[in-house]
Amino acid sequence: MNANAQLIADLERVVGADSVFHSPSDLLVYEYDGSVEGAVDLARPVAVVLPRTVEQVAEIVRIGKRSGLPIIPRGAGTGLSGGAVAQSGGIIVALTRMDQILSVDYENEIALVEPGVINLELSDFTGQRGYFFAPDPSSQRACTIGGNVAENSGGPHCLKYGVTTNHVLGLEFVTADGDVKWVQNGQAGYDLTAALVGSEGMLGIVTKARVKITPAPEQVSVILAAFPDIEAASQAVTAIISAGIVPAALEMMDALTIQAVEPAFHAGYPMDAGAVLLIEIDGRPEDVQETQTEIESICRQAQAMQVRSATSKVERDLLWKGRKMAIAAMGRLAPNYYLHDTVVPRTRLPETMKRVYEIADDFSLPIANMFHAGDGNLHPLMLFDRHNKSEVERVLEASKHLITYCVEIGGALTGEHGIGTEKRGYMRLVFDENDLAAMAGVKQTFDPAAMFNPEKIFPSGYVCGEVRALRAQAIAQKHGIYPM
Amino acid sequence: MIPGSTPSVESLRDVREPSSPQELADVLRVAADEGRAVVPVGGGGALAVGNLTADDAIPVSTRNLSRVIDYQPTDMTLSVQSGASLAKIRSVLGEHGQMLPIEAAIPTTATIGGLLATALTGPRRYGGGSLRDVIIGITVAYPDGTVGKAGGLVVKNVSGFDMMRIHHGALGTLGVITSANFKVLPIPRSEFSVLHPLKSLADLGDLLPRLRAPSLRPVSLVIRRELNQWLLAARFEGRPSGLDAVASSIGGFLDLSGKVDDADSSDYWQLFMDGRAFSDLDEVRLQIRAMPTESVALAERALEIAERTGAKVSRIEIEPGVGLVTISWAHNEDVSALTIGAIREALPEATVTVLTAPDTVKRAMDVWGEEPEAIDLMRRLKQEFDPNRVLNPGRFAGKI
Repeated sequence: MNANAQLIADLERVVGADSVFHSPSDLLVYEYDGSVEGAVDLARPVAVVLPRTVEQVAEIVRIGKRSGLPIIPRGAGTGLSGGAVAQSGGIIVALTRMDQILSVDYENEIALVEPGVINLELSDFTGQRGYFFAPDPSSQRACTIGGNVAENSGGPHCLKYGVTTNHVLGLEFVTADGDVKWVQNGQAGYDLTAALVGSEGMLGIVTKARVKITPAPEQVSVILAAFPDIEAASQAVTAIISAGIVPAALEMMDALTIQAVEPAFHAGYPMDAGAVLLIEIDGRPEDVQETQTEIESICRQAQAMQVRSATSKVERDLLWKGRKMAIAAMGRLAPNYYLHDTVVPRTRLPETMKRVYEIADDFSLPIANMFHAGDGNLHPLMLFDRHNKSEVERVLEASKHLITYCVEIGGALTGEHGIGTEKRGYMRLVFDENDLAAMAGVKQTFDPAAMFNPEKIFPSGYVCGEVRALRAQAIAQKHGIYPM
Repeated sequence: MIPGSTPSVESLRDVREPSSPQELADVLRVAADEGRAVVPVGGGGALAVGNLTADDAIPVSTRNLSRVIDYQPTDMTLSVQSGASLAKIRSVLGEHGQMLPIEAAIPTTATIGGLLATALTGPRRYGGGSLRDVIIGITVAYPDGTVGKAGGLVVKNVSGFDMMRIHHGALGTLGVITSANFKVLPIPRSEFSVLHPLKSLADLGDLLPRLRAPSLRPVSLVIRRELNQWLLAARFEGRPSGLDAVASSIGGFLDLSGKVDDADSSDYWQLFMDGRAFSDLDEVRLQIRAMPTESVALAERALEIAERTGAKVSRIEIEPGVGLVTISWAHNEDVSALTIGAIREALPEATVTVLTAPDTVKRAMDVWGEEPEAIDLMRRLKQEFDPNRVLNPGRFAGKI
């Protein structure tokens, strides 16, 4: 028996033959995630294993350790930065069959879930008792809570409610030695729970998560405000924030997005608007009413062409539909898109958007924008056809310009999609050797053999175990930016 | 084990006061080379926290690192050096109606670095969160002489590992925080507090479940015993019209005669926090952490045990929203260790931390209680960042 056949046999012994995929046709769907081909290369794992229990996960890790192969944890594969792609081969551990909501304690407002539970399912389930799981990434109908933990996912409502790390209280995970550990926020010692959240599957495999559930607000109101241009809409955003209002969500869409969305979904966005804001507020009824009046007046002062509010669920859902379906509507404009995720200081939004449109012109690429304006989290969406080689090249080149610009004005590489393989080449734009060495110290602590999800976050060629030697080298080529 | 003691502000000699992050890192590197220990000091108010540490540790103060580096009110971001006092930060942010979600005893001396390192919070954490929720960037001086940063100055960022929360609550045992970035929050437009007397804990009835209703939920909730009188103190924040509605609803089951508004309300809570200052070296103070719904029962059991062992409980505070009980008594050589042991034994489901106690009590135990399940990983983390055990040796959980 060759090494591969032996590995498959070992894995099948743990989970059963129906839970190990290894034929090329079965592996095909695990060669990519939600990221864009070109920015992230496809890669084929040796095998995909779908465990059902933590004991099976631990056993798989021990097999992986013996075989010396990388282990890549994976949820629903909706990630947008290549985090779940087996960049250097290895075993993908797909956690989608560990999908049980194990317990919900409504009095203490916590739920214990397996990593494969779909984000929206937890909100639907607890919704019957008036609760929800606050992180709400756009992929929430498909993405898993394990994936949310790995990526520290956000979503429109994290403006008020915070991102995934603010909602994770404890984690069970399988270590690189194949041991099972429980860590929780507030226990003695280091906050390893927080270290695991957002670690992109590089430190261990999460097998259970204790998460906060949030009581649904008594009243919700959604305000739609249409503006002649992005500047006016940005001014309204700044004015709302300056007034000391933290809406539950504060989203912006630009003209190109409106023109794609409105004919498809009839959400009621004015076709001649240069930008639309969707502002959601929630809380005590009296507070919501007062805040709504204040926001409406701020928007009118900022030259809004139209301001409408909706409090009934049906009307609110219609206003949101355009935003939530915006990406789907892009299919009307082009066969492919590359969705970015940079963050800039909120007050730099107008100039950043100006720069985005300049880049669109320079590279002859349509760029649509729908984003979390309240957080300054941009999602420029570059439209292209992947069969057109020159377009693909222009998209990648334009991306460099966009990301570099955002970093230069004090922004971040990624607000909620993660670094993955997609943006690892940009890490040195933001972090120097010492910064990376500290992060490498964390990796070294959890996974000294670099078995879990290699080729992610750290720049290509960076070996965490050799950081001290590398650091000396790197001083010579300080601030060198790795090529894409 | 390093024979040690609890340093006090008065006992600090030969304090180093570096004036740049790199200078601080250099002090750490030299100490590492010379095999010396270092105690990082902010305002000095939390030196009592933790196990005993090396007697001859060099105190390194952040006093000269107290600058506000960057504050953008319209971006709602703040970058501040770790030695800045909470009072200073409050005054800078307050001019623009903004704040950080953190309470501390004696804000004029409490530093933001110390609050991050100790992760001590006040009751407002229930509805208002803590620094852990709003930290977005950090710069840290490490014992190898380097200064490393993580995160950034934007409110949402997942670029790289979360070093911010790894250092939060690490008691300066992995590195010394030299600056931190936060997303700041608007100060609520209005607030009031209710001080509702109780005959006993049994007198709570269904008050707690009623106060859990989302629209009535207070931002802070404490049940405390003061001068032999039990009291439920609740703080509510929001817009005036919403708060009027809250007041009329809770008036049905809470005594509003002790209602205080706005400045009086916030003063009440600052006084409450000042009462938590570690000013009495003879005090034994435990913090018991458990599920919110269990906290009142745990407090009752802790009180029963104290009664049995003869510990004279001077203060007890229950935070039923977050699941925290704080209990204090005046140290008595015959009863302190006995009481701590008995409480730990009786409450296996809770995490019992000795927040402060005289050296004789600390010497005989790990104040952090039983070692956490992942202690091996924690030791490895310490080994990675501070292999020579320069920073607060022995002081943290598992005597790390």
